[in-house]
Amino acid sequence: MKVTKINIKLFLKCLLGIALINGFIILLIDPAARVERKYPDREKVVFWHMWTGEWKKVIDRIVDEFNENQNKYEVSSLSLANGDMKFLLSTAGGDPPDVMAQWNCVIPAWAKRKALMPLDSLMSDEDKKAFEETYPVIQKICHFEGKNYGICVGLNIYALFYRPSHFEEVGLDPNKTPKTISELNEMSEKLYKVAPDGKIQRVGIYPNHIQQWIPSFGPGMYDYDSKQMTIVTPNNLRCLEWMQSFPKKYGVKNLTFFESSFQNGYSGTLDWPFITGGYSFMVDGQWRIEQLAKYAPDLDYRICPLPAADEDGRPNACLCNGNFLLIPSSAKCPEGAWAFMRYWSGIANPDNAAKYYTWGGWMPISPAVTNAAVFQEYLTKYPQWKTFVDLLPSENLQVWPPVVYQNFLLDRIATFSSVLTSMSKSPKETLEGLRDMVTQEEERIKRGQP
Amino acid sequence: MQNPRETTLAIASQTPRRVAESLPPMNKRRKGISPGWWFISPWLFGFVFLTALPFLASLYLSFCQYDVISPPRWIGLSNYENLFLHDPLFWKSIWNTFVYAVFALPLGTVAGITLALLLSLDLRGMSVYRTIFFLPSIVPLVATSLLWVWILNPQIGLINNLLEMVGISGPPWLVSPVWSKPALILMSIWGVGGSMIIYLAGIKDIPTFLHEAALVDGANTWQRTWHITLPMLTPVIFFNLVMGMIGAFQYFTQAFIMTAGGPQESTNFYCLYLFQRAFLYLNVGYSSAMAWILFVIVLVVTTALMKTHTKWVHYEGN
Repeated sequence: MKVTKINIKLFLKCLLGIALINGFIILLIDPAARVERKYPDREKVVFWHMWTGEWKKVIDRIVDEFNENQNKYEVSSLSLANGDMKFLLSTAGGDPPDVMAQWNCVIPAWAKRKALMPLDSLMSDEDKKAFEETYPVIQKICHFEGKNYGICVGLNIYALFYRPSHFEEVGLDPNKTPKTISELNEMSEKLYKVAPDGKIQRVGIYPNHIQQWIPSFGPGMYDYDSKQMTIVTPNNLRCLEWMQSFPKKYGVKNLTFFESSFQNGYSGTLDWPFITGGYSFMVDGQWRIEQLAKYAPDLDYRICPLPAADEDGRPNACLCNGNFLLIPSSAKCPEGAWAFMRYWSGIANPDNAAKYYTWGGWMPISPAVTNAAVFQEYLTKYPQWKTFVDLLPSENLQVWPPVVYQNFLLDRIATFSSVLTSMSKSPKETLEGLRDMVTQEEERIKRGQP
Repeated sequence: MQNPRETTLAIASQTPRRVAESLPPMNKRRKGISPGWWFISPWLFGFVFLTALPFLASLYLSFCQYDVISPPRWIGLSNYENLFLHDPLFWKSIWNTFVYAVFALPLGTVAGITLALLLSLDLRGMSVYRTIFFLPSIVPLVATSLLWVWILNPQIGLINNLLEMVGISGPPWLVSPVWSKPALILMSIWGVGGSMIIYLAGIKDIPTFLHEAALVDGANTWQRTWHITLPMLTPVIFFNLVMGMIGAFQYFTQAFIMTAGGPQESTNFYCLYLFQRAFLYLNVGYSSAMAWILFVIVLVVTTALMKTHTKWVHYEGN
């Protein structure tokens, strides 16, 4: 009897012990390690990105081409949701990917915390020369405190989409696009359709995002010489005054109700208000061209650059953002990561990389990529792209201010855009409110230093 | 070999002292780790490493500058100083949460009790009605939030269309800083089914002889509800109030999905701001300080409620 009793105890202990050990092993094993490798003799380069669905297929094709066209590295890609937090945790745990694609405002915050590797040390002289030949905005977007931390392989540029049929309907010439804000005002006024009870049926233009229009009015919200935010300036004030003239004229409630009738707002695809005819003018990015070709192939539309302010305005301007490739500072194979980045971006071979830009519908990073035969063919297929491509060399393309609190700034600008368009505050008060918020955050950061 | 049943009976017939003497000595039983510890070890592991240690770590982190990537650096009370003296968004988020709690809690309590009273009536098919009213509370919060984005749409939403039918021009709800909080408070009634079930159980638990005695004394329905049902229900109301208050201070999902804190920070609730600070702006030390302030707030309010409960909560035995 005694022996049986001890055996049961031992059995239970062993069982639980094994269960716990197994649990830990399952937790500790890297799931990626279990993926069968096609080129086990090569150096592994772990690549994290956040694309899914059709986009993921494009990324997989690029990765496959890279793996097939050299024999030193094998890129293993992994699509992740909420990649920011996973990246931070993996960095804190000392096991980050070798290369990561990002589209959020993270570079200054991550670079400041030394989580990213400056690319200058990985670039050969040839690479540096090729990078210097990229468009100015490409050189600016991943730049922080004198160093370059990434390559923007998916730049987003914004321009003015418009509906020629609406133009003809109100007696405007569709071939004559607005060059200045006052010209845009005149056209927009004719294009607005307002019912007798004040309800809006069609909008000409409705500028409701501060960051979208600031570049057309002046140097923007950041001074690169003094490295200071410049929020309350005459140019910015003129921009906000112009923006607020719309709710003043058409009524906050009418515009709010009109906008809310588009459930997915400006981000919708099939129900994008431009397709449904709700807007005659709309600011949006180059990716809309392929969407329109796919979902509204018969829609007649044209694109022109954002008009410049009449006083001290900037032509061919907009705020750009994009998808960029980054290398964590503790990457195990930064050389392999850089090899992959220069291959994809076209720093290595622009003629070959041009096709990747057409696969993803991304803006080319350099004139060399733009001039490649494949990309020129793409421009013939989608002639609307020309407006965006012509904007690329512009010095007036702006990027988010390179400050460590970029995400905070982005959220506050959204808040103050709403404050402005709901007429809760005057343009001057709005800018001052935003400036105060930014100043408080800067001081908070300074005070928080040990 | 002795029959086990006989052994049990023999032990049961012994005095406690004799039973104790018949068990193995303590030093013998303590040998090795008891199987109980093995069985509880998964929970213990989770509690110690996933609850207790992070809890204590967050207290330490609240006095540090910490961003997940770099090691925490001690900065003393700086996070607390910044929060109390230099962060208007912190106060705004407290105000938003406070307004929500003040309106949503009583509204949820009244709606829950009213529904429970109605659903406690002895009518045919009542279990179907109870199920219908309980169902919304088990719909996942994310799905509920997305549904309400549609319901509250000013132009094409259900509520404004119904209002328009009776000649009222509905408000802009979630897109207006004035109406966004009332919209979320209104939406909170959607989940009242959870507390309703607890109230219903409480009502069913009230001894029938109390109502019978009142009936004999000539009390009408209203008098019985006011003088018997509600006082007897106060322990349940108190429980729901405390839990609801804690829930209100932790309000997050709906605001995160439906408004992302907007418009104009009018729905930037405390936990949402805490989340933004920790995971978007990488101020983990700062948000740890926020978490501890929230802990203290909840502790103080719960203690205050506990202090008052002797004055208005009636227990059956009292």
